[in-house]
Amino acid sequence: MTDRFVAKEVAAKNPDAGFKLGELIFVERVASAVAKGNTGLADAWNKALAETMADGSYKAVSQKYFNEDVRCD
Amino acid sequence: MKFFKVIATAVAVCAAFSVQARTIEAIQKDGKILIATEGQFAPFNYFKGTTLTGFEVDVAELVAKKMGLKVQWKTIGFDALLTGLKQDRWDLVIASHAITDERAKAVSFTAPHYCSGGLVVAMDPAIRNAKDLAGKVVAVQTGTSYLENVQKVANIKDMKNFPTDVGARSALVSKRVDA
Repeated sequence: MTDRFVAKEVAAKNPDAGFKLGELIFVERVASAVAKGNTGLADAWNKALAETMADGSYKAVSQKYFNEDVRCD
Repeated sequence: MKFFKVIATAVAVCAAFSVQARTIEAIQKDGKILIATEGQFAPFNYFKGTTLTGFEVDVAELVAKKMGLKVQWKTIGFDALLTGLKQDRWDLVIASHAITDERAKAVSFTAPHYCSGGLVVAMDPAIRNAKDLAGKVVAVQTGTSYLENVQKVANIKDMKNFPTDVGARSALVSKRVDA
């Protein structure tokens, strides 16, 4: 049991080791942080983030680093 | 008159020391958003030579652009990031913080920009999920959140701790553990 991305990298770097990657056992939602209560900024950020997820720009960055779309479902 | 001066000075001093988090309006007026990250966590935020880069850096640049803002980056030790927010040293932190109740007491989180989690790694392709871990010996790195999480979700036979992730993986290859 290890971090999703660490596991991916290890499997990629050790293709002959025979590691089989299973499923996510528990999920961590990873986010940005703002000062407590600064909802105006958080809302503006969320709106812009959603736009990048809708227009393909987020996906392109995700593919570049991970060869998959790493957004939360 | 003197009394008034004392009060006025006191108020002025108070105003100088009372920092408010910058609102989106203030940030937009300024045209730039101050974002802090660590820069030591490839591939999420790290330095390629002297250039800060990574998945989170790229995403933040995208998002800021949508907001019509330029990013001014600040890199600092991980432990100082969220505290710096409370001190209003920067506007936002993006550094792979998982949303937790504990952290949410001290800061406000945005919507998540990616999901990660504990992944099952095994030599046997049949061992894939929590159900498959029942009755198995599982290796985790000491002190990680995987320890409690594995115990919470699976009916495992036994758990073995290793000081390093690499150690846990060696145990897997040598079949001392199942996953």
